[in-house]
Amino acid sequence: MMHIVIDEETWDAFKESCERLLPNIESGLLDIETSGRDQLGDKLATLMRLVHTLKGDAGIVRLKNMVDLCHAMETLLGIISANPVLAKPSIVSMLLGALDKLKAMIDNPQEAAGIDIERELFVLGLATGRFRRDS
Amino acid sequence: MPRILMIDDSMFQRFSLGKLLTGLGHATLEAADGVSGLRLAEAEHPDMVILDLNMPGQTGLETLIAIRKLEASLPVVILSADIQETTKCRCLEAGATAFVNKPFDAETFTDLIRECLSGK
Repeated sequence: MMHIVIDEETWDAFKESCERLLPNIESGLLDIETSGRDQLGDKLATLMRLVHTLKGDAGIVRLKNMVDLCHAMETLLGIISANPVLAKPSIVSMLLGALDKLKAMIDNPQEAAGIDIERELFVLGLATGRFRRDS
Repeated sequence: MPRILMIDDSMFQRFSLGKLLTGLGHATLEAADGVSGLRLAEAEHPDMVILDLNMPGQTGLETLIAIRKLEASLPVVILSADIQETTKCRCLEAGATAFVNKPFDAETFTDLIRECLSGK
């Protein structure tokens, strides 16, 4: 497969895009805990779109661990969307933990490929598996 | 010089795609959502459109349908991370010229652009 060349200008543009997306993802996550049922669906849809965009951006610069983490977050957000009672602090804190890892990657994107995400994937995967069975 | 309109809510997707397209000698136009993309398509008559699906407000599919009402023969390539076959079928039925998944192979995508622009 032939890829797009990732030069310094491309990394800068990637970082700038991430720096716009991440605060919105963070405020979106904090917001779903307190949202009323009538607004939750729209807020989750926006949040999933933002995480999906970040996943797409990470795919261009071939940051597989960022793609995987975003994918795990998207999946859990989809489960919350189908079962709104899960929009509670204990679940949101799992997503915020994953967000912290994404932030660490974006602080230094050229080193991001080496950041370990096993713990976050494990936690999100456990929650996804458990609540998928329950829903 | 052929002009290609990119419609994608991701600033970075527009940047990286724009870099590829300008490197190939094309001029680019860009829009961050379907409504402004449609407006640009109407006003600027680009030679080709590259369209994302998952965008805020008007979706890519709705934008495609609206573009088809304006320009029946304008090449519109869907570039999306959505890998579901039903999504691809829906887009092709609505008149998409081609459906490409992100991340894409630059060489194959370049060939597709050449094919879409042949004769322009």
